Amino acid sequence: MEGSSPDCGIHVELSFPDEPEVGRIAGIVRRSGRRLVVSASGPGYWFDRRYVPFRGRRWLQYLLTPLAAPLGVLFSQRDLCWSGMETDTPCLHLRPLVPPDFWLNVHFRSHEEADQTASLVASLFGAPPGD
Amino acid sequence: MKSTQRFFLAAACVLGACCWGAALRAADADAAKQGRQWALLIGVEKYHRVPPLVHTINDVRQLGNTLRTRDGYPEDCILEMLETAPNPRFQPLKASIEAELPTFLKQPGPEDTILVYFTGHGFRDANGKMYLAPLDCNPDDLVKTGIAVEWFRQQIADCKAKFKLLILDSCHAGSEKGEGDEKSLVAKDLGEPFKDIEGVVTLASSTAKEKSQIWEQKQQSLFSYWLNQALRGHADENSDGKIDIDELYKYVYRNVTRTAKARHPLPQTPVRIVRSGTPDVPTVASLRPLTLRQVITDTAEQLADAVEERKLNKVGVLEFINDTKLGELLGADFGLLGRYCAEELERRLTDQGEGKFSVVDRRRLQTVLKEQGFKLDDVGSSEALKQLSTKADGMPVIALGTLRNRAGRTVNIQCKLVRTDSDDLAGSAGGAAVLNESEWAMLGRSAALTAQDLRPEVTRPGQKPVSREQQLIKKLDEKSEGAHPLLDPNFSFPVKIMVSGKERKGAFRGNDYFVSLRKGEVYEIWIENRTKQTVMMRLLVDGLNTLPEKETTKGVQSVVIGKRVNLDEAKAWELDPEYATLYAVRGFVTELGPQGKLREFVVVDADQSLAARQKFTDQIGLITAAFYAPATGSRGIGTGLGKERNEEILKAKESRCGNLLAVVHIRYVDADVGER
Repeated sequence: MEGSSPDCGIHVELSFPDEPEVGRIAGIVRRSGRRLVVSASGPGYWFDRRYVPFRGRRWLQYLLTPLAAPLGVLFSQRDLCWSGMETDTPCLHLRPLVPPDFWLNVHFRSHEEADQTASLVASLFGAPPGD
Repeated sequence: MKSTQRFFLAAACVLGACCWGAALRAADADAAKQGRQWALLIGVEKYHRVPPLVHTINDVRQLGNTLRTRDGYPEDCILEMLETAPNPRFQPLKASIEAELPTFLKQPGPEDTILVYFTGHGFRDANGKMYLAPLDCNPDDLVKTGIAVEWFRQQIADCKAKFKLLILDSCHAGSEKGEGDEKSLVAKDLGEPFKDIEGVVTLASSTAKEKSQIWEQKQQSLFSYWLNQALRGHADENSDGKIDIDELYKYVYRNVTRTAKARHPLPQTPVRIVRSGTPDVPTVASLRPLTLRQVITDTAEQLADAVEERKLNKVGVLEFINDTKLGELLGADFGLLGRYCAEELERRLTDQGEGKFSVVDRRRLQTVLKEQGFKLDDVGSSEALKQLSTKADGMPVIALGTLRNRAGRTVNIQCKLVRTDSDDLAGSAGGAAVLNESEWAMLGRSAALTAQDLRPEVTRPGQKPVSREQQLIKKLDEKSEGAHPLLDPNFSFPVKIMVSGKERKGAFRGNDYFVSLRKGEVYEIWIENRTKQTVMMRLLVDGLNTLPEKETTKGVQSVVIGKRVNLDEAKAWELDPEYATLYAVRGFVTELGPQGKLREFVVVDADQSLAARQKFTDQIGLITAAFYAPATGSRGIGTGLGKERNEEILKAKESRCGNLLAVVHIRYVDADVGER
């Protein structure tokens, strides 16, 4: 599928749960080192959000999230929620411990792309240090 | 049998029973784990000492009704507090709320979810403390007569439910309490104190600077109307049968802001207040699939609103199609159902649009489509849509329905309003519909069930129980994969097309049966009942009932000949073997009884057919015979085999249709075309 390999990024649609007026925009999900990068650019918008995997206590995540902000948004497995798996359009909801304005929904065009992203995320959490 | 063998056999039985019991308990535990859905709905309208509000009682009633009938909230899990309640315990008085609310909120368990809805006034006292206003509230003495938001917050915080959705619709515009009343609170202010409670999401009707407006035409507040529509299933964007909090907010937000802009003097923006660190996307409602008619009625209502809001004067309805071409390739054929849905939608849109917009006649639209050679791909082409609009004398918007993901009885319906001038989406609506047996028959497939098929399936422990309808449709699906039932020499209900006393044989192609007829030919339909039991039969020609139907218009009852009916509702013939085993239906019956009369079946041009004259074109060229076991309690009629056109058509004993036994479709085609 064109442009849908995890190496060059998975083409997806993005929406913002707290900004319904924006609607869906085209974006790319990819891995950059030990971070998950979600980027989108188009007329009137541009962003490149970095999500840093975090394994540890919830309270520690609360504490470290503002401190780690320059590196990216800390997120744990708990902050990921899948929906629509029984439909043709699965969706990954990213809900890290940041204000809801920064939450993100990632909509996939196929289960294949959703699976690729799931493996990508799993690899982030399972990757040995220095990978 | 030796005693040892008996012992082992008994032990095996006991062990089996234990496993069965354990599995059943596990299944119950699973069900309990899924959690129950609770709802507390409070609405105050005619305040004793505060200016009254309007339509808040209706808001609560509509919401309660939706939660019960569409979202599967159990009756005993819903508490409505309205001033119309006969028991003061359930009236929104201060004392009643303070007594009932803690008791009710104690009931949900940790796996449950709760929806709390309040529509009424909210006030702030001189110290800045916030209060919800009960029915007997005195704004001059809020401490004694108001419900402190702090207390309310504590109750919500103490509730064990894993997800709590708080919906606040307050500070209604036009409530005569004065625009500049400093005491009054808007929904967003009221929602703020709940921000930090874990598991609580608050949906407020407007921002701090706005008012909650009334939609007089709908007899509801603007916010509550769209909230209700969302929970009725329209917010289910991904068609997964569930509405999550994101889908709900998005739907309510878009529609409230849009309608406020189009129809109301002031803007209104719903607000969601959610605590950061709310990890998942909770489900607000698990939708109960609706009947096909309910879905189409709902869809029409939504689309009519969208057309009206955009001040469009004309809408055309295209036949409902499969979602994707892939679906067609995979054989996801919806037969006549697509045409039926389009026709029903068109009819409902016509009713809804009275005096506001018109609906393009489908026959005219079809002619235009044919002339233009319009294809499925052209739906995405603004040029093709523009051309279509011009040819149809200006049609600014077109309704395009899709049927998809049929799984057994459930089919997803989605209808989009596409603008022909700009290719933009003007609105969309839809939902999951459950097909009944007769609607299944509209898929155009023929099948016969055996006694074995009708026997209830035994479910194993832990296995989800299958409803009778589900089981039947599964069987019908399986059977319809095979040959046409008329190919089976042992079929219990052979149906023949007779022309001049001779059977006109047809050709079988897969599950279809085609019979060639020439224009001007008069034909009869002969049906044999070989079961030796009374059987009910619904016989439709071109989608019209062969029996007359009663219709009541403005209180006047009349008999309609060749009425367009849903197979499910058609009046049925009774095939009683004691009376005859072979029946002939020679035409549309116009009069029943010993002096019965009928109008012969004559083959004419499709445009001249009785169905086309009534503007029902979707089933022209199709004869449908559906056979049912009789069920007692209603009425039916029968007709005998005779040579005269004025013949005896007897009224039979009272009975109605039970289980579907078989359905046979015969497609009659122009002989010349058929031969080709």
